Amino acid sequence: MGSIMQIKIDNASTRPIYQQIIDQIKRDIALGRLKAADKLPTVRQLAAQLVLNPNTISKAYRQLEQDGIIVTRPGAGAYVAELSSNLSKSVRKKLLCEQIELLVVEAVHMQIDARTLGEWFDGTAKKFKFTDSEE
Amino acid sequence: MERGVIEVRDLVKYYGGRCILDGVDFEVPTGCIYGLLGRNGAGKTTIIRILMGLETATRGRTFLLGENSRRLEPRQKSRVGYVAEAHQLIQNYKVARLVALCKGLSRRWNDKFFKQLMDTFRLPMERKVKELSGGMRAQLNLALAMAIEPEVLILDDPTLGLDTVARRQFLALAIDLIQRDGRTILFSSHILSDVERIAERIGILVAGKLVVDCSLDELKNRIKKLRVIFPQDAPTDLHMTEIIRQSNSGREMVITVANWNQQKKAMIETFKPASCDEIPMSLEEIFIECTHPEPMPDQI
Amino acid sequence: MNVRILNRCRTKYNSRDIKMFTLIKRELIDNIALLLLAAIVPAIIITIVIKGVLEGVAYLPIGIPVIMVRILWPYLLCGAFVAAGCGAAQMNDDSQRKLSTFLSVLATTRGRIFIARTVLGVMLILIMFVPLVVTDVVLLKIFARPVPLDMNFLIRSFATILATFVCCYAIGLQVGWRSSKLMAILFGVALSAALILVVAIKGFGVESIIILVLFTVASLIWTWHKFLSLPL
Repeated sequence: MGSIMQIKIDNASTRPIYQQIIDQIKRDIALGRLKAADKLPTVRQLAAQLVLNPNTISKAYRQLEQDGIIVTRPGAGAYVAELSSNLSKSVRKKLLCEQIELLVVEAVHMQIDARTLGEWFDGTAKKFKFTDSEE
Repeated sequence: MERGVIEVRDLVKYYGGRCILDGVDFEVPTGCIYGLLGRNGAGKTTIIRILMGLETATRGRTFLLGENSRRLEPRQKSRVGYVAEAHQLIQNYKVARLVALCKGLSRRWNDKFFKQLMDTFRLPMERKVKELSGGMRAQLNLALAMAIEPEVLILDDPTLGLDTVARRQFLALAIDLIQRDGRTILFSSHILSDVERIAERIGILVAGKLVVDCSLDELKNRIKKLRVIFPQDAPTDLHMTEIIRQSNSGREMVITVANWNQQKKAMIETFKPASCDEIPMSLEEIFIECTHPEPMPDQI
Repeated sequence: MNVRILNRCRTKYNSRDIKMFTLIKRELIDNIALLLLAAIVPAIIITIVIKGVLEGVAYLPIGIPVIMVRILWPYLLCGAFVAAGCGAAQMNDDSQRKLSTFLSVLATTRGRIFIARTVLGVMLILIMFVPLVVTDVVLLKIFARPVPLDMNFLIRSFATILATFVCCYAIGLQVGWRSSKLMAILFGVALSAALILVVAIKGFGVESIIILVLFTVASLIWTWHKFLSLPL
């Protein structure tokens, strides 16, 4: 499990490639496609599969590990971390609030009011099964 | 300090009175994939040919696997794979005869791997080299270079003439090679999306000078494109160094700066802008900014 | 077990030899036409000699058949031009088809490529020279001589002819690296004509041989140096 990951690199995007990998792994975890303790492909495997420089993959994995999203065990590979991550709540708050701010700014520019935005938020949350329960 | 696998030191080349290379200096460490970029005629092929000992420099020196390019011995050359678009191979030989020649002049030859590649590329052994299309010849060249299990691959526009599938095959081969210990790749290419995928370090050659020589990430950090909106008309007297391009339009200024740092940021802020957003640039866009002196049509 | 080690040693030891052999073989196969051309020179001349001999052998005072002396000059001329032409053709072929460009990025040196080329030249020259010597020896053996033989004359003649062939071949190599095959061969032939003039003036003998050897050495050194440093 986890050896065939569907990561798509967008060449036209200006987002750095390693960042795209990070984003998509995070997305897969959030969508439940990757669960805690799932084994991720090795750097070699992913580099061969995506035809990317192994250092790019390494960088993405290092960043994910720093953010506490994956753990690497020497000799055993990389695994999805337990979701109760090492990130302190304040850090988590900071990261998410940055995203929220971007969202609100966008909404203002597009002249979308807070209620409509809230409705759309609920819809998306449902799609990701983002419930009210803690954890 | 351990020497790089490839070293270019103060390379100067004049050809018929014209200056092709004007003091190029860089190094490719072991295990690195180095992408050499530049417009046509910038001098990439010349650097590579001098490195391989096919041409001599006017001044300066180059080193390959620790040996001066002018004095390369078979024991170094047997560890180097060379693929160049202009490398004609020997046109009127049959492919099979060319292969036998390469095999006879190699130290290590992985026949099994070579046959695999020939199958993957679907190259005929019985045809003459001149009957192959440009792309097929490039693939043959690549197969011959890979069969000797090289430590260093030197590639001059290796994907020219290759179709999409073939290009992907080539990249996969390059990645496979680099995964083995101590392998190094230097390649020049015009297909920047490919370079962005596999290169770690980038060199951009403009009119014989290496204006950029750093890792890909550093490059994206160093060269920034900003969209700054001012409360009044955008200032035209921004005295900042290393502005690659600047265009003002009413209250908006789009500026591309090299070696972005705090001082430059502070300088912009003295004009009290209403907003200052970074426009992320792909490698292709950075390359165009660096190599195209005049503004492109849509920017006027 | 011992055999395996022995084989491995042999492979390592032989590696340079195998590569040299590969280069020579390539040179040979590509230039087989030149070898055939070089074989025609002696073939034609020997035919003439045999025809002449069948018509009766007349002897010079020095104990050598007239026919043998008469063919020396034609032989020298033909062989010299053929040698020059072959040398020029070999080098020109390389320049046009970019053979050395291809070979020099493989595990060999320009020096070895050049040596392989000259090996072929040696073969060419021997193909032209040996039949002459053999024919003359046979003739001398077959036909009884009315007067004692002047070996000195024979040796001087053969040596001069050989030196001329070698020198013309070297000149051919020297002028071959240019863009037009025709020009290369014409140049080679023209310069050979100049050398032959020298031989004509100085005659078959030590003086000519010394001059030819000097020219050969100078020419080879120049070509060697150029070949090792020109852009490919």
